[in-house]
Amino acid sequence: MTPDAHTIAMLLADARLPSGGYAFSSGLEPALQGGLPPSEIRAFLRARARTTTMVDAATAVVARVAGLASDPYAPVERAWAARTPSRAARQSSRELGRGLLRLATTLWPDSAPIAGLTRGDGAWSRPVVLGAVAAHAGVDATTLVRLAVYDDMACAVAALLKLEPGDPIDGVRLVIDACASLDPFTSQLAALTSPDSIPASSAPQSEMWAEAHAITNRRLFRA
Amino acid sequence: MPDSPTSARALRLGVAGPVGTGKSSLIATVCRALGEELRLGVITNDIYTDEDARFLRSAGVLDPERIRAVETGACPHTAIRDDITTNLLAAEDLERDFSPLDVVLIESGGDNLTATFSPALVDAQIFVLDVAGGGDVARKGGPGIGRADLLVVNKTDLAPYVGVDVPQMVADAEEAREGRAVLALSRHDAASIAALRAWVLSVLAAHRSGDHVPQDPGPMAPHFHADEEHPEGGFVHDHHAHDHAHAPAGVHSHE
Repeated sequence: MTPDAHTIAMLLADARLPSGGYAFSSGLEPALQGGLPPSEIRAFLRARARTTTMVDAATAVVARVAGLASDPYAPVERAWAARTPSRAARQSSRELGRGLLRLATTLWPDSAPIAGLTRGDGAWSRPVVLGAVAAHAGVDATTLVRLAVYDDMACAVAALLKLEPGDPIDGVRLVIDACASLDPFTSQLAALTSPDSIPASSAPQSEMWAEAHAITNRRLFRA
Repeated sequence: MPDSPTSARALRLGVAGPVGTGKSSLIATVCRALGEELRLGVITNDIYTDEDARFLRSAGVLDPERIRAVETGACPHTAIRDDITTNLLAAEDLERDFSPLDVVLIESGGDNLTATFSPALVDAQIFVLDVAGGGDVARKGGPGIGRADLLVVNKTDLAPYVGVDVPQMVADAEEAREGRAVLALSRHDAASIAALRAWVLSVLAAHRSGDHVPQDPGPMAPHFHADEEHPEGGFVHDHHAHDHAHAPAGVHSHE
């Protein structure tokens, strides 16, 4: 039995979902180690939402379309990779994607949209896997955009509580603020259908931080 | 549950325990004692990147390629219990890359007394205490001390320097464990290493024959079972009396 798509969306947004996400910080630890002052975290999250997160949300939407149409996911993955220039960022997203795909294939072994990711030995980014799961579970495109954005911001703020401990309720404010900042784009993002239409908004400073963080041997989070 | 017939893949053996009790050192000891006769792999879980993996690689006890690190995002207990995804992927990768392996040792990041492995990740687990942590720790119990497949009281050679009575600490542990296996270990004590080696081999034999069933040492509250034949009756029990039948010579066990 599978519950309503809204329940699956909540499940996917839950940090307790066993898919390996707890070891990641959405680029926040790399930023803080790279010199971002803690007072700038709100601005950092808004900038990430407008760049990396937006690319991921759009990728998930286009992957969902591919999943619903039984089209190959590879062009979507290539388009995402072209818009994610940091090798470290691509690798960490694919580690997250692998964890989520393991969960999805275990839960839904007979799903055609999910099985489309298990043929061959390709590595899939988290947003492509998320899009395939959305296609399977009937999660609509608008909800998928909000889910992708929320998950990325909530991941950063959960990590913040370990990196720069403060009042956890202030962290909730940060999540609400960053998610609201992307609301004006939600319908545009949800309407995308082709890999070419995924926005190419990268964040060079964050990508440099991600690269430096990947080779340090003092870090709490994988990325 | 394990994703392949239990006996067809490597024995996955977890090693948990508080920080500094000698988990990495115990794994190095197992590698030295069994590396010639068994095909081994090691996965470490670290809070800070791959510190333990680098220690083990530099110890030269195993091909460095067979030692993999999992990063835990400052949540070592989550990585071995609540969300075992990354460890399972690492174990499957290691077993695939070096197929066939006999044993994959999975070292937990050092945590507190409540950190134990999910039975979906490991087939058996060792919980490690050390005498330097204080002779009273074993009495405190908890899921790892109480119900791991083997409790190791490590660094017994330090006992005279820290004022701990090893036989008393072992007796306390045996009482907390209701007779399950306890091993007083020192890497300078060949007899204790032989006992550890024999224990690992006995668990491997039980795993291969299908006799070993992974246990969940996690906390389970006492609960009520209805008795259909006596509707007013029923009984409460607390799952303390699981059967742990592997206790080779040299390992204290009162079963």
